[in-house]
Amino acid sequence: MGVEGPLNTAPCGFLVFTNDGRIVEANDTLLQLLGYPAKELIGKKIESILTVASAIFYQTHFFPLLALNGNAEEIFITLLSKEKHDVPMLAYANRREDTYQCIFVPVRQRQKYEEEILAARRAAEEAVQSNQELIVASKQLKAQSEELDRRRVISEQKSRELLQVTDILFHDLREPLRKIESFTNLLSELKGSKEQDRMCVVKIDAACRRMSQLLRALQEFVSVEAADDRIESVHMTGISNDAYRAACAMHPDVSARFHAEPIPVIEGYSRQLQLMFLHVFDNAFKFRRVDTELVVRITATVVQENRFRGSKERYHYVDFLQLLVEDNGIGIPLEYSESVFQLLRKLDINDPGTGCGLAICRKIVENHFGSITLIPKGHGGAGFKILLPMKHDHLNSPQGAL
Amino acid sequence: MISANVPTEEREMAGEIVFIEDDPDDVFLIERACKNAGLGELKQFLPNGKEAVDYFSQLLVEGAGLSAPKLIFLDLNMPLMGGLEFLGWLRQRPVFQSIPVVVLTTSENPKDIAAAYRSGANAYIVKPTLGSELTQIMVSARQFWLNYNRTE
Repeated sequence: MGVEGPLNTAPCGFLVFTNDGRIVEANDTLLQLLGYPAKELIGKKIESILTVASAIFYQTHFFPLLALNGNAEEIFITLLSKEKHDVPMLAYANRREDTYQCIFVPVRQRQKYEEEILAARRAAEEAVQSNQELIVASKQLKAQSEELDRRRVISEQKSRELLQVTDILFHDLREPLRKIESFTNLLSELKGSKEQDRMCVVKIDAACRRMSQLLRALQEFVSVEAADDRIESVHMTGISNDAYRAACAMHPDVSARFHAEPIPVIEGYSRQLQLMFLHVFDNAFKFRRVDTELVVRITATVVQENRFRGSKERYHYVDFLQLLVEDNGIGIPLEYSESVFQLLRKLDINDPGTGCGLAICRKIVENHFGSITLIPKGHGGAGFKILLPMKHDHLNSPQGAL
Repeated sequence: MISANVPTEEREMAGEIVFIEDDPDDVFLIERACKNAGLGELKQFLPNGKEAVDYFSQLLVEGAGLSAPKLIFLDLNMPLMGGLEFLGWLRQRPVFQSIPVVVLTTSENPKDIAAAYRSGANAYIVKPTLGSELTQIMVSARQFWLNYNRTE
């Protein structure tokens, strides 16, 4: 039996069923909601439009409640469509004589909202979880940043001290030395001085020259500062050739050959890199074999190296330029592989160098976050392996290098 | 300071070259070089920038009958007032803008050299250690700045 009047198409399902659960009336709205053709439900058991769980719920809670109280309100129950899809409903029912009438309001949206609420809750829980991890990571970061800041303060203090020392080297130390030289020269110009006096003057003069030379070298060492220069594209082939010519000019009486492969362009401090080449070549010229023509050879390759040099267990492999600079000179014994790069550490007290050249090289390479090492050479001669990063993205960032 | 008793010609000559130099040893060496270069009577020594300001301020007083020097040798590191500060003061005064200023100092620092030219120096010479070289500088300076150079 269908439903007469407005109730048939009211915006809610309407159902009448008997004491034993047999459907006697169903409106069109309910039929549509469940996908049944007209009147097909009449005479069927109510369980046929309930899911298994709802059927149990109907028998154990819904119907006893209805039978006992004569009505039931706001009962959430899931109906089953003809196509066996769940249709969540809110049910209101009451008794009319020996039948029960029931309206069903679909609550698909509510369920969707609930699902959204549940999803949001799950997301919140996950967020709390990942937030915990973030907090831990953030604490570690903070600790690291404090450590960095502390080191930065120390390093700024050191560099201020160094600046003062530089000023002293540039001026204050020079001044008395120049006076000694000037007045010694005056002495030597005086007529009638004894042979012995003249010899003393020559000795004082030589010592002054040496001192002056050392001061100049030290000054060069401290003045190679990354802060003074800008990162740019450096044409390594060009500057290495220029540096080689400059080295030749400093040793005009030496016959030498230069074999250089083209070197890739890298980012760096051009002035400093040219100075680095000059000192490496100068080293080759100074420590050549007297009986053999000097041969200087450069080979260049691009290799992958870890950018993190100061931190253990941190890795970021980037492209480095690897330069091998080799000569056929007297060579450097491997036991001096560290000390040759130290300031004023000369292997031979009588050697013609100032003991600053390779220290300056190392400082320049380190200004570029690279490295310079001595390479073992079985057949004699000296060899240096220089690693320089191809790019300096971190130096161009607003914070600069940490 | 310039004495009023000195005859006119000599008075004009007396301060033709001004050395602003604090170090007595350098004053001694420069005097010696000047003597060897034949500049014995032309020079005036001022011990620092502050005294130089006083000296040049007097030249600004009208009717004092004093003429401005034709060449200034300036040291950089001096007590009371350094060379660069004095140079800045000097170049702000239009009457002194064309006086050649040769910085004569110990410093080889590129920053000092750049700063000197920025402040209006005309030349920069690092003090030599050889007396003969200093004499040569004085001979050349006299020839170039006093004979060839035009300031007006």
